[in-house]
Amino acid sequence: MMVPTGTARNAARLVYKAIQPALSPVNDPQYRELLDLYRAEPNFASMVNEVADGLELTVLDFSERGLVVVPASRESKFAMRIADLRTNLKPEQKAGLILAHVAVAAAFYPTTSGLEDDSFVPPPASLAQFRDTLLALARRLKDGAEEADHKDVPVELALGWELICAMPLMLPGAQRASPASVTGLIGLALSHMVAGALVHVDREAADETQVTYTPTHRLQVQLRELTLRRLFEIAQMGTPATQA
Amino acid sequence: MDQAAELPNLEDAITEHDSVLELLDLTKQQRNLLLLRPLFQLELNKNSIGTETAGTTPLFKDLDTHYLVLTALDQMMEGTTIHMGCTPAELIDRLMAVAKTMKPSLSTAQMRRVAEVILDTLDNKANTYREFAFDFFDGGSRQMRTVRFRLVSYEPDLEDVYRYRPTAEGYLVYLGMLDLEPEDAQELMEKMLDLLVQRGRFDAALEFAKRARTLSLEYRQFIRDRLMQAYRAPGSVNWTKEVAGKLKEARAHVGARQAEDQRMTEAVREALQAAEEAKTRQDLAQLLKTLQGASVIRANLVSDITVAPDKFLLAQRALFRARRPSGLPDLEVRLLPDLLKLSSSVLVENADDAISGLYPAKWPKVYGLNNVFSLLLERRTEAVVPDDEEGEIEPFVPPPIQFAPALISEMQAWVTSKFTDAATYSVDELLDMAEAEGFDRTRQRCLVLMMFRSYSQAETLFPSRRAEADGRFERDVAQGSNLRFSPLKGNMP
Repeated sequence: MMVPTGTARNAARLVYKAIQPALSPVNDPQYRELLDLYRAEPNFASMVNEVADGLELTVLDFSERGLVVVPASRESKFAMRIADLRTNLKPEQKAGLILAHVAVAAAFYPTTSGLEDDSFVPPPASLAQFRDTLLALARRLKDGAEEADHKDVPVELALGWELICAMPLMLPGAQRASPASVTGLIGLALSHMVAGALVHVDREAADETQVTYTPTHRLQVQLRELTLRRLFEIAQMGTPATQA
Repeated sequence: MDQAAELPNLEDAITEHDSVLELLDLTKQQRNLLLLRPLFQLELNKNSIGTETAGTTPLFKDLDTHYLVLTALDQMMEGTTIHMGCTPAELIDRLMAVAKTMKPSLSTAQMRRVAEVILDTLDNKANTYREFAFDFFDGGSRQMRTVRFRLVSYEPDLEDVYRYRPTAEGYLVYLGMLDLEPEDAQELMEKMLDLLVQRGRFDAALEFAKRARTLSLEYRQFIRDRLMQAYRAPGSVNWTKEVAGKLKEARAHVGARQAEDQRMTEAVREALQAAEEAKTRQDLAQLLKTLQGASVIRANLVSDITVAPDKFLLAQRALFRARRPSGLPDLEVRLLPDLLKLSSSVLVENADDAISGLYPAKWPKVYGLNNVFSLLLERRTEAVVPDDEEGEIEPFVPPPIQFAPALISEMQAWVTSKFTDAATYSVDELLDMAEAEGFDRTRQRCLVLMMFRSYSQAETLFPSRRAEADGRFERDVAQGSNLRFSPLKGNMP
């Protein structure tokens, strides 16, 4: 087989490979060779970056595990939106779904040191652990708050922890992810994170409580390079509002 | 300027008026009343429930829903003695048995329905399992406020089995609006127990001992929750400030209860030695057992308290790992709590930002076959929102009869008369003949329907004829396949 050269076609091909999260260079020789070229040839690397840029994509990271490419902005056609996860969500369910995602990430990487250490492999976690991470925090905030202060707040002004505490933990008899319960929201987040190659199903089981998950390298990179910063900005944005 | 000068006067007037009409703060009483509202609502509306399974008589006639609801709460509390509550199946079984005793005529399906209605009421199924929310007038602040609460919680125990147990409000409903702290209620119960043993009312004393045991379990649960929280989020819990104090209180509480138990057990033992009657002895033995059971539970609580600091330290150790300096905040200790403190409107506004930052590039929407299958196979459980208003039942009006029986027999007789000869007739020919003989449109339509019905050999009105489809016919009264009716061979003259 010919060794690929730094052509525009190959640059576009590498981006094409990278936007398929399920593809891995391990099973794809062409992907592997293009990655080698990316590492070796600065000109090719910058060409790949330009192709990505033109497509409203950003190259976050490269390694033998693949090129990590993400949408450059929320307006990018490649950007995932909350409506792509589930349509017709109520506002409190949207807020809950965001918190569920962050809870999954937090259960794997409670501290930044884990994120920054590429050799760190978090232990597998189950849905119950993600749920407890979220619930324990929400309940702690509830206990910490003056209860009387927040009793009469309308739903759209209710704080995240109030939503989580007020939401049923699980609907009796519900089989699959329903956005009306905390467990359901986490299940929903997990199923999409699996589809997006952010988490792996570590152990499959017929009983949903037995299934465990592990994070992928991609989740670690994305959290470290992008998501954390963006979440931090969101958290900062809300601070004046909560103070007022 | 004038206006500005007037304003303070106006305000003075208002405050003067207010001081005359001082309003009482009845929040606590109102809240306790509202806690019972779900129970009252059920009792009031019970006759409109379950008419589909019980026919004309209401399903809940002769059933006391208050008793059933309190039974459910009691069962859940009992469940907390061994586990962390009751599974839905256990509750349904118990409620079915109680309902059967109350109304022996119930069928199994009806009993199950009754039990489910009771459980659904406690869990607010009608409002998709949300918290109960009721408005009340707050005298202190002079405005309407909302109280939100749950009566039961449906949560996983340590083995992740989901169980029902009463919430603090649920206990309050059960304890009959006494509104006592668990510790106070327990003390009260033990005084009562003591009194009852002295008076020789052992069966009642046994009942009370059981309740006291349940209460000490609730207290244990309360402390366990605290500890669990401390394990889960170690960096975030200030041990000395938040947990240590609670543990100290709990230790004192347990110590006092242990002493009380000891005294009670001795009192009962003495009574047991003195008692001669079989029934009394039996009650006393049972009472002794219950007391000892409670003692074991408290011993467990003590061990919980003892190991907690060590476990806490173990969890806390993770915090002191060497780490590189980094500008990014920790997810669990900083970011998630910060996000949880945001109002939901801010979260919703920034939802797309967060999601687009978390997920990899997605392909612009084209469905892969795999996705289509998983999408089609996904079973969504939609919570059914019941109508607030009950629908009306309209009487069934049968559709008007198209053809009078006389008309039908007239047409049948006419066709039979035509079929006496050996000729073959098709529908359009018959229609032509009918029109020529002056039959009106109704009769012609009746004729067509009659002929089509006769196409089937099983339903034919003219058994001597065989029908076959042959082309189409079109008339203004009807159109369709043209049927040809020829005499059966055996009937040929």
